[in-house]
Amino acid sequence: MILTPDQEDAIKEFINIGAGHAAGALSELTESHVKLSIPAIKVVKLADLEKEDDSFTKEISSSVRINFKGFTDGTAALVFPPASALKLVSLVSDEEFGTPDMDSVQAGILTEIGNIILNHILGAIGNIFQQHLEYNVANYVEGEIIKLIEPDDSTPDLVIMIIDTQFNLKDLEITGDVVIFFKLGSLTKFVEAVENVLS
Amino acid sequence: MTKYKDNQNLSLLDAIPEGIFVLDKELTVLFWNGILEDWTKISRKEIVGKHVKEFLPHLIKPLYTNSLQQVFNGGAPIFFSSHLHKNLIPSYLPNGNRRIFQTVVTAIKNSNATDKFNALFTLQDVTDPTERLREYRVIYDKAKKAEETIKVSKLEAEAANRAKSEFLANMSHEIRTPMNAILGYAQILKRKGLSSEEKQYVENILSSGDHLLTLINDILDISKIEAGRMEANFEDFDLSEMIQSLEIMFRSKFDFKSLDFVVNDLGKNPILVNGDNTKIKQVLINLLSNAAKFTDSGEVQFNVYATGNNNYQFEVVDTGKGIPEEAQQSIFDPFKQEREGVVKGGTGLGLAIAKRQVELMDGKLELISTYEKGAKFSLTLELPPALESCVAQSKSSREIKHLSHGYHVKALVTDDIKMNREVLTNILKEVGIEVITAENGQEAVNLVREFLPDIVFMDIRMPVMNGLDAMKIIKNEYSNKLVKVVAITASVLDNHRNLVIELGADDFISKPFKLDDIFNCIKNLLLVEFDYQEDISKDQTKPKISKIDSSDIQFSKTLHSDLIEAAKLHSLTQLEKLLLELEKENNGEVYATHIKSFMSNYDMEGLLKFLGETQVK
Repeated sequence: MILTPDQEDAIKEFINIGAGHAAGALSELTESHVKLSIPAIKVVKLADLEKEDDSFTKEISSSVRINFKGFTDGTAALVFPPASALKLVSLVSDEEFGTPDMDSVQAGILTEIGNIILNHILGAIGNIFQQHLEYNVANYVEGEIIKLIEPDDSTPDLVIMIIDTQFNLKDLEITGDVVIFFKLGSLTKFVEAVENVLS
Repeated sequence: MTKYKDNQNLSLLDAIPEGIFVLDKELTVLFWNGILEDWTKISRKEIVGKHVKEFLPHLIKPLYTNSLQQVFNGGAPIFFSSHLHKNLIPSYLPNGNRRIFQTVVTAIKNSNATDKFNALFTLQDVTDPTERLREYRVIYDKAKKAEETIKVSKLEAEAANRAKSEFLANMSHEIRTPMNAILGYAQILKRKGLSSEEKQYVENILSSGDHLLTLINDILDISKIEAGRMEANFEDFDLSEMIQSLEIMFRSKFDFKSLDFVVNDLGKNPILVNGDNTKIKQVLINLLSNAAKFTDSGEVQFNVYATGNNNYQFEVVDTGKGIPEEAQQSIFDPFKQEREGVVKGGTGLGLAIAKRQVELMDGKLELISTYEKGAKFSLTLELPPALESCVAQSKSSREIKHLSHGYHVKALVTDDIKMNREVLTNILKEVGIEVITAENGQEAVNLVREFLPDIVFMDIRMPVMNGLDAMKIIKNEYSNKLVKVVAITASVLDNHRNLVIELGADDFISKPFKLDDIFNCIKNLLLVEFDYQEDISKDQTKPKISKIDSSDIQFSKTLHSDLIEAAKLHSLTQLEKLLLELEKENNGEVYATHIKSFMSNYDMEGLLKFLGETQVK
């Protein structure tokens, strides 16, 4: 275990504030009430994750990715099973696209949703560190989750934060994950920052 | 703002094929590039320095201002998708359609104050790919709807086909059940001492019943073909014998119509081949019957040629009216009859069935006809040589009179329909078989437990307990050798028949009952013999020695040598004594009866031969 339960709770609190802001932005966009909840957060090393969950390397997903840099570097992604992604896009746009695969129009919508959520959650993490992060523009990626990691970063010590994300939109529930990969060396800084918050 | 007045930067930003503009925190337009001038027809001169609401009023909606706030604070870029922000920047194509954009807003540092940020809008024109996607979606939707329609139609067709098969099975059962009583009683009646006039009436009932059955079978056959449920069943048979039997069958018909019947066959020697005997015969009967029906004078030729490579050609040539050219095309279609056919009667299915039966056997059925000059039907088939060296014995055409002396058979007849029970009971009793009856499967199981019959005739569809369940119980409780079970089925569907065999029936017989089928079935399953009508006279002088597989018998060594000794001495008294001992052995009674038949015939040589073949324990 990387974080103590107290540390995890503290992070969860911060991220829920970010999720709340993201839900507000999504409600504005869709002109209907969107609820975004974060039922669980897990921080693990890549080596441990691969042992317990092979969906990372095997399952195909639809994701929106943002790279960030600053005092810590990494990649954040909003990850969905393809069918859930299509459903979310339909609900947000209030349109049935009918086609079985994500096309560029739908990918654009998902990118916008992902951009909003990731910005707010990364913003919340920035607040834990009390430091500013720089981000690039969000982009849509389809494939195995493991491919979201830059090849150079794919070491067993890579720290991954998995944030369960539950959307409630127009009376429907859609579940996805926000996955954040922190580059090497950021773990100690991360734990220190969390401890600062707690103290 | 001064930075954007730099000429080099301006020309650079004008050259980028994307719409670019910059807003400061107060939402004043700081920059507007050349592409945007072109797309929006708003000149840089007009817009730069003005509040954005003057030209792009919806950008001051909270949806945008809230998001932009994050950028003015130096936060993450914002992405506006083309689909959700159609009206972000109004711009039209020459054809009047709205231009579609995908927009990214990025924070850029204000050159005057480093802690302040401006918002850089980058608009990518995605009209073309979006339009293409829209067209693709329309096509996809249509294809999907068409596919769904096909799927629904397919399901409906399958359901209809299932209903048809179900109807077929039911109709087959419903019609064949009463036919069973009609034809069964007529067959029993024929065996009674009737006057010649009465015999003729019974004959008429039988032939009309047979004809009706043929018509029903024709309709069922064509339905089976259409449902794809007819199968070819290949077996070894003697082609030469088949041709001869057809010749015998039709000779009298042609004679009756004063027509010459010329048969050019392949000689009388057996030609053992492998093929669907029943279907080939059915096709040829069909062609010959048509020739008989439609030819009023002249001759009918039945030619058979071996054309090499196991191929055989059968021709039926008549000197009838022939078939008009326009009718030749549809002659093999179901329910299509040319005028002459309508006049002469029939279902109009015969040739359609024949054609499909031939196709099922990978053969060819053709018609060559000149109107007014007769018709020639030609059937070509490949019939490879028989797989086994000998062909199963042809069925006896002799009439069975009685179970041979020394054989005893106890049968249980199970059928819920009284008339069916009575018909089969009478048939069996007539030849000396002891019969008990049951009305349903449960009763049959109880009677088997009580009386242990040699053979059970079991109807399938019955109340209380159906035949299949009863059969399972009987087969579970008694060994195969002890009780044989024959399923009675009115179904003509091959898969129904195969099913009853798979479920453990030793054989099946069809309704309406054919006496030969019933007796052959008993003969094969119980290894008993029957006396035939023509054998009676012989029986009076020389009782028939029934066949028993002597290799099955195992006598004790002493008894065996004593029997041989007594036979050699022609000592009937000694033999009778020894038979008392033999009867105590397992299966001894049957063999004792068998030996008695040699004794009553005083055939000691035959007895010695029989004993010579038996094995000693």
